[in-house]
Amino acid sequence: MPVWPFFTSSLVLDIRTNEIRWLKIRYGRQRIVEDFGIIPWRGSLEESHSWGELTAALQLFVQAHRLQQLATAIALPMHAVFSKRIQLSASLTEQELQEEVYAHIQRDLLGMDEQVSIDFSILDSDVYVKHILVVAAKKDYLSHYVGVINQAGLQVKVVDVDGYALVRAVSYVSALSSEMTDAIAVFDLCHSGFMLVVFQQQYIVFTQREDLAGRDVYLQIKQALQSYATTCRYAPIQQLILCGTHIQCEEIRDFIAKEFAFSVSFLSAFPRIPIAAHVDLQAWQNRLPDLLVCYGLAMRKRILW
Amino acid sequence: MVEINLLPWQEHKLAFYKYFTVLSLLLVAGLISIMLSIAHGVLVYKLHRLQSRIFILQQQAVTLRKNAAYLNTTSHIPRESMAERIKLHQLNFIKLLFALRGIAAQGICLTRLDFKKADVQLLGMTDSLLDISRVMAYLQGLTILQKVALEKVGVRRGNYTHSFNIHGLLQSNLGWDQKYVVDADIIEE
Repeated sequence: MPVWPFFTSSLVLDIRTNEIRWLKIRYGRQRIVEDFGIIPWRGSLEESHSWGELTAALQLFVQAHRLQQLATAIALPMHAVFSKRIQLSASLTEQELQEEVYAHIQRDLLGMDEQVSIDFSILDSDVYVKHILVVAAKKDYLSHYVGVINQAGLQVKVVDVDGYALVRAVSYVSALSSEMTDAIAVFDLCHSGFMLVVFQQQYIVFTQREDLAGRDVYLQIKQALQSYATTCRYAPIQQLILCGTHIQCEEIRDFIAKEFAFSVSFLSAFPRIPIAAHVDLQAWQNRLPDLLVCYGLAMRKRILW
Repeated sequence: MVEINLLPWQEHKLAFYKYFTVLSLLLVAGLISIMLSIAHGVLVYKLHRLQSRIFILQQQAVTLRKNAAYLNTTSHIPRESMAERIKLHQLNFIKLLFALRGIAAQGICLTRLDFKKADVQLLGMTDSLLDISRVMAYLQGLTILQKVALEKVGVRRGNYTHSFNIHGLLQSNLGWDQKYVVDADIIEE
């Protein structure tokens, strides 16, 4: 912990297969983007043997940018966590709520020997009930992942979930109301793959990540959306938001609009985000669609501890 | 907005607040120490100034006492002797004036009385020379006045009165010259 933890910067990392997307934020009266970038690495989070390469790549990055011991936020992939929406009585105190959530997860993960890390967030509440999102991840996996990043010289303070970071960023950029009851799909398309996230009232009801290397992008998108339509019949998609830097984005938008009869919008206009004077504005605007998860992580409430 | 943190952030938060509380307490203690040190420094400075002032005053008091003692020891005797001398002369002078009171009983009028060192001049008027003889006899009988002599006798035409001028010597000097004239103030010369 720094001697005086105020007026410091933070780093957010979106670690994907073969690349690490990062954003450095300075906290003051408002958050200012100090630096950003994408660094390559050879490996994937799914392959635990390639985590050494991740540490090596991060070490070089930390040394090059002098980011030693910087507070860092990362995101676990959606498929690496267990999430559930539960309802609990509104009369429970904070402590009781926590105990009840833990008991609930213990029941759901009955038979699982491994320890889990749990966190929860209140989605909405009324006089009688609280709708709570509970997220759990294997403690071993989490501590190993955090250890790999800390080993590179950073200090991981936050471990979020990439899907929720993306939803947060898209909701902010598209000015979506949290009260909206429609199911909204977000397609984060890049050259190597895509992530489909469908959420309803902030809760992610469906998520799918696909690798596009050597595969037909249209077919993969169609299969993902059909998969959602069959598994989540109760929440049909009302709106689809397309984002990312895939070169065929416009064709894909037309394809989805033609194949599935729902509104498709392309996330191209971003609200003005304060950036430091030395940051190249054009490069930032070009890169922003790739950095939405990072941006969602950077939008979190500031953590001093 | 949903915000998930799978790290044990409650423990970290608690540790942070403990750290921040200790840090704040240390800062406050440091600030109070600095303020107290400043106040102590100011008070010590004022105390030092007061002590210096007291020392100076004490020195001055000692000097004054020394000067007073010196003045008492060196000027006490002359002052007393001068006073004694003044008292002595005054006594002789009073004695003379008391004696001169008897001249009025002889029926003559004194118009002027001069003292110059030990010399005494009596000027006056009378109707007859007999009165002057009686005054001379009276003055020659006084112990404080010696060598009494009638220096001048005159007659005023018209009302037939006699003026006279008598001279005598006092036993001791009065210390300063004096002149008394009828219907006039004391003139010191």
